[in-house]
Amino acid sequence: MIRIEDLSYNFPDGTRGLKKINLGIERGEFLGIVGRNGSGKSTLVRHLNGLLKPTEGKVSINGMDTADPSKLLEIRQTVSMVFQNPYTQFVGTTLEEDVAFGPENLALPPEEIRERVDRALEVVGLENYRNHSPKTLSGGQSQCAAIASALAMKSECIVFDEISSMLDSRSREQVREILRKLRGKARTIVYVTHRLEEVLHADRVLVMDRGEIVREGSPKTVFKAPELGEFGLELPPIVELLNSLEAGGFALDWALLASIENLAEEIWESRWKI
Amino acid sequence: MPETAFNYVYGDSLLHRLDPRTKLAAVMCLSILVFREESFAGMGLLIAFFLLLTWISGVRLSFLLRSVRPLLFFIFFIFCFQLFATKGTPIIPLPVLPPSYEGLRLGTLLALRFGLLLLYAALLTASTLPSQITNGIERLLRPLPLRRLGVTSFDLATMMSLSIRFLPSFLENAATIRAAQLSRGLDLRHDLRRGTTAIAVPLIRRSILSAEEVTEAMESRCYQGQCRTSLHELRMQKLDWTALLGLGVFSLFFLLL
Repeated sequence: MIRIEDLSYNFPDGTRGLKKINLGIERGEFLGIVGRNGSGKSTLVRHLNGLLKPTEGKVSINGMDTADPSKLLEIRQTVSMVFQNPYTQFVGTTLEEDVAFGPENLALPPEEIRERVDRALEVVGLENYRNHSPKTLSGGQSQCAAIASALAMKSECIVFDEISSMLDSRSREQVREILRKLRGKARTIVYVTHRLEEVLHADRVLVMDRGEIVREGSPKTVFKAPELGEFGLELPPIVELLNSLEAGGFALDWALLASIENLAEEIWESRWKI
Repeated sequence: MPETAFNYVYGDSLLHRLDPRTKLAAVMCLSILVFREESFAGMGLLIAFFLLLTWISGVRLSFLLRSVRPLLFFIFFIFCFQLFATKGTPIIPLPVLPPSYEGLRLGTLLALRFGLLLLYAALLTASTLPSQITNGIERLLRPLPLRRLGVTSFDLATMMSLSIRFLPSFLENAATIRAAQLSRGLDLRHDLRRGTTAIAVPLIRRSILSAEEVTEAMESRCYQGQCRTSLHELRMQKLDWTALLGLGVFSLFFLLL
């Protein structure tokens, strides 16, 4: 659904942001994009809904060119974004109004807005907070509100740009729980992060560095590469464990990473084989 | 954070349920009455009416009185000015600027006027969500040919509600920056001029950066400032017309009296 061809981007001050990116994203795919700060991952995803326009090359969403201003509204209805800072993307004075902001911009009838807001709040589990102001919501709740706002747009694809980096670990778990729920719903998800453990279950992972895609593949193959450290990334301990076990001739199924309990169980039961 | 003046107080009273346009019109109308009134009897009646509305709204009177507090000094100044500067029968015969009975009367009236004006406004904001107020103002402005000036009523409404939304964040940022600069040895008491720049510059910088993030978030959610609808579409109910009629009768009665 998303095609990126030879995309290069220079910042207004002339520095290079992206170099010749080629990428296709399929409908329903969960794509993880990882990289250290300044690697260009946020710059890349800002091209997906026309917030940034390519300096060279082309980005098309369902065949619509993001450089075409007449298509912009439709593109933004197709691809929504959730950003890093939960507070600056909260534009309503109450939670309910914030979630309604997008549908209101589409000039939908009030009944339809009401329905979308209620559904979205239900999915993120904030239906009891609808009249709360951003001041009385926690960081995690605000970020869930931002996800609800994206859901209320009923877009095909949601881009999550470093949404967990300003959250504490409990809120992170909360957000991850919602993502798990969303994933089954045939939505395309693009998830940007510098924490590799958040994209262990992605369909595909891209590693970016200095404005280029330097690695691409399933998490299993990408997270084996010993040079990830060069790109400023750190393997999650559990993956390191799995990799070391495999190097020692004790290969375990990658799917076991879904739950630590299962992995522990498997290791415990396999002790007889050693 | 303590509850501050001019805040919304959650409730479900008759006053809360009125359309914001009705309430805006009422506040405007009552303000005119307050400013036209020259007699204490009339002022007493307007105060009584205010107390009646407060009782209906279920908002605590002490909460509303708090919104007058920031301007108390200003009101007191006006009172004193009138008291001493109005010529007439002196209360105490002083050689310069003797306080006069006429001044006392005028000063009290003016002080009551400003106080009452603030109180009616406080009652509006206490019984109406900020978003409802902006919504109401937007609907009232919509027929005006603002497009010729390059803005729409929707733009204005969005600006208003964003200001309301981000004012607390702005103050919070200011406090954080002040604390950060103080911990770096900034001395506000001795060098106010340098101190002000030391706080203002980072504050403005941070606000512009946040504004950019807000813009991105708004654009991503298809904001275009043209036609929008609202989750709470305003509809005048029977209650609103009754209230406006009541207000009309009250004003007429008041003016004829």
